Amino acid sequence: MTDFYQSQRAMRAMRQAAMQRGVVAILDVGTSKIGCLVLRFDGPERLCEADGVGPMAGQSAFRVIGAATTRARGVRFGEVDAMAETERAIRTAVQAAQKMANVRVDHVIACFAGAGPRSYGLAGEIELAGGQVSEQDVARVLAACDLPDFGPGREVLHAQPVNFALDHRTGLGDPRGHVGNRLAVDMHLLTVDAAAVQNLIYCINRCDLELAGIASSAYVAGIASLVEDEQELGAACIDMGGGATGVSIFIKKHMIFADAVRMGGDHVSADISKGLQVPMAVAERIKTIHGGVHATGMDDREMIEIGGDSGDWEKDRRRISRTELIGIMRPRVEEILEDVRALLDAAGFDHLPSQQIVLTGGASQIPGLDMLAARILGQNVRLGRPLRVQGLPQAATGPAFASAVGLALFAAHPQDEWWDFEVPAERYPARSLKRAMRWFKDNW
Amino acid sequence: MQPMTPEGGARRPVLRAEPRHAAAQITLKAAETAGHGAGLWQKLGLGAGTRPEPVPRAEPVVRAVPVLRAESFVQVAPDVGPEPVVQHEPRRAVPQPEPVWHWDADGADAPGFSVAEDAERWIFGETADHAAADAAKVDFDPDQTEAALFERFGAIMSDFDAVSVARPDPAPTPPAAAARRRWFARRAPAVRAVRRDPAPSRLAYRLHRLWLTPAVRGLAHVGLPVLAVVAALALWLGDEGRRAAIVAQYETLRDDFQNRPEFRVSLLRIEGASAPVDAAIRSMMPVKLPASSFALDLDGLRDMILRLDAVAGVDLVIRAGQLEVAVTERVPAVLWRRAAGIEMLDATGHRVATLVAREGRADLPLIAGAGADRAVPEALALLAAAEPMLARTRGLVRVGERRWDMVLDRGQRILLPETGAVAALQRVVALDRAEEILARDFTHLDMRNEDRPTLRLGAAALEQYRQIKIRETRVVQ
Repeated sequence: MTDFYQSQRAMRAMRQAAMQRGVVAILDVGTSKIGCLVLRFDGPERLCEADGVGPMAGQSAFRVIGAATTRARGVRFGEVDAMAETERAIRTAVQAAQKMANVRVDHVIACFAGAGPRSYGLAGEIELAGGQVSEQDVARVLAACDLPDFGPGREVLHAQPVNFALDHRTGLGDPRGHVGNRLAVDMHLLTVDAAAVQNLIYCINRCDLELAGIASSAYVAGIASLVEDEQELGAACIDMGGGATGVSIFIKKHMIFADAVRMGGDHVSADISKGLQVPMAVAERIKTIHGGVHATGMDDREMIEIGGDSGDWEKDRRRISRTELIGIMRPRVEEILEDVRALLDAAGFDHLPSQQIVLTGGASQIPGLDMLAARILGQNVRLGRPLRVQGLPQAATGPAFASAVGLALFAAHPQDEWWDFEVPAERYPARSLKRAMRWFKDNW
Repeated sequence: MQPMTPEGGARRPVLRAEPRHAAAQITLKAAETAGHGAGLWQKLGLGAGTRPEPVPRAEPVVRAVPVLRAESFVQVAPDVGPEPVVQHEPRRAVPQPEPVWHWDADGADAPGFSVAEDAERWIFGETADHAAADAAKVDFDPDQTEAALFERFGAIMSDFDAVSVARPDPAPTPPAAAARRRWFARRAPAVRAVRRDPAPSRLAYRLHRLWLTPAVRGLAHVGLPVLAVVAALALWLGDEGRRAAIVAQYETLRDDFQNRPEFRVSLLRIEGASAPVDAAIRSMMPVKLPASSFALDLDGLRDMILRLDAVAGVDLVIRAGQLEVAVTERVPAVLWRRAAGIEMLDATGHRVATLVAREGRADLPLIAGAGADRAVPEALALLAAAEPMLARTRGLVRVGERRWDMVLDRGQRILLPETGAVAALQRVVALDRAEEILARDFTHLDMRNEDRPTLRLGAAALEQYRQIKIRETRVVQ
């Protein structure tokens, strides 16, 4: 874990370097598509970031100057499945985006949906010596969180302090400067499968790119598609991607839970493909053009020619009604939504004051999905589209680009993570001090 | 209507009580042990008392809901208002911005963000055509509506360029139109062959990145062309004969231009110069007239003329083919006698000319002594102050390059101080006016000490003075 902690720190430094250079790439590694945005940070408040959040939460600091998507190959369930294929797909997307931006990007911030994210709530508590809370105290209380045993082969992807409490006061966003005796913190920890992260990093490094940050797709989709009051009052964002459906719960502008269902739009297509005995591409096309989840009487009369180029006239002339197609799609969509419901229940989402649920992601564009989701997830369901950011092409403003846009917002204004705070002084290894002393003795 | 597959109806009963996969179990456990779940947002200040009741799960029954296509369409293109569903209209292909098989951004056929442009055209083209179709519908012409619809669909399909949509007959009968509508609804898209993998090779990718590097681009756009031009020039000019030919050609061109009659100067006119100066200027002209005006170095000529002592200033103008020289000569103000001869100096002390004989300029005062030319202004001031005794003045002598002696006739001298010489001289003039001191017999009048003017008597006066003293004291020394 320490290695990855250090590499997260290094990635933050890399992000700063990229902001200085002014160009950073956003890479959304999805199961069905890989999207790449090239951001140029040249807004007016690029240089005064230290003074806090600029107008519009830092969105006006950047402009999208290049955007490209490519069909993802070699990604399954939101994880890298075939390394070489994924690398080629990343290369394709990055090259097209670079070509559009006409600038070379060296730093990339990536997100992915899969790798089995798991959430942990951590709590830490220290006694304050000096009365006032200093940066060191914040670092100490973060270090005082007892790390759960999340098992071998897992890495911490996000570790965000969600809430600070000072004595009897809770809900503090920034405790620095407050006076009190006892500082407590609640931290949200998201771990993912280490191997999946390593594979993704390897693929990106093979493309001569430096990784300047990595994020969970569910998290960044929530950033992009939940509006501010939803993030504040509590809402769940369901990012229905191709191979995985991410769930993230936000309250008080912090993510407090994230998980993923290893099913998505590709499984719907696979069902159609299996059920109708057609190739996957045809199934995808039929789903995209004729798909739905609510059948009406008119759908019985609407016949879809599913075709096929087998040469057999009977097989190539097959027709189904749209009702049959809906009959294939709906159970799978329901299964996905039920699994999402199970995750939300496990997270205790029904204890939240606000029950808002926002559906986003490419698979959320199935006609009638919001009504179906309202039956399974609760009444407060809406379809979410990502925030408009400057320079984004019209075609990349759909819900399929929620993760990419969210990642751009994440790049512009990342939330504080554990590794953004300095290491508490007592945690510095004594060995390095000894080594420094020895160096002085040897050389002076 | 219950057209669902049997599984669809049957397999959706209850929500699973426990999570299905292991990850969720671990998550649940973690949430319980680490105070997650309800605990975390209780700490966020949301007490259990505010916890709302869980939303009652609707019994998931598949009902036939009237499908409102317009909603999903509005999602895609918000500019278009909700559109009434026309029942007989064949189902429109709802644009889905994520047809995966369409998403391969192939740099070969469309540079840049080809997918974005395609999708944009898809959305807006669809919208525009849709408006056209609506407009056509107002005319109650089913065939025209049909044609518009068909064209719209054809436009969409042509994006996939694998579907060939045949245009219908121009004048269809209503039954034929209905049949074609059914055909249109049934028409399944053909699937194009799997496209070539558009991924760039590693080498192409690296070269592209290299090309986008600013230094490389700068080198290619500026450095290499400059280098090529310089190399070509160096190669071409490497031959000695070619260089000489170029120089010769240039010189020929230059001479032809400079020797044109427009630039010819044929006459020299000198104004304000006395005869010797005129002759000197004419003799020192570096080029023989007529000459080109490019050959005349007026600045050099001006400096050369100014080097003549008699010339105070000169203006040179080339006007209408002649060189006009306007000379201002120095005016001699004083004569300076030296061992070599007599020089004429102007009021500033600058030499004007040598005088052969004093009688040549009897009107000018005479000064002498080393360094006298550097104190000419003071000498002129002294002479102005000595105006009443000017008839007796022979001249001024500079002594030790620091002070003046005024020499009078009868071998008399007035020794003037180094500073305040004019005042001392005015005092002498006043003394003379009061006591006629200059008429007395003395050889030197020493005014150097202003507190004590001193007379050195002449020999006769001295003898007379001694006799008077003997007579007064009766002492013979």
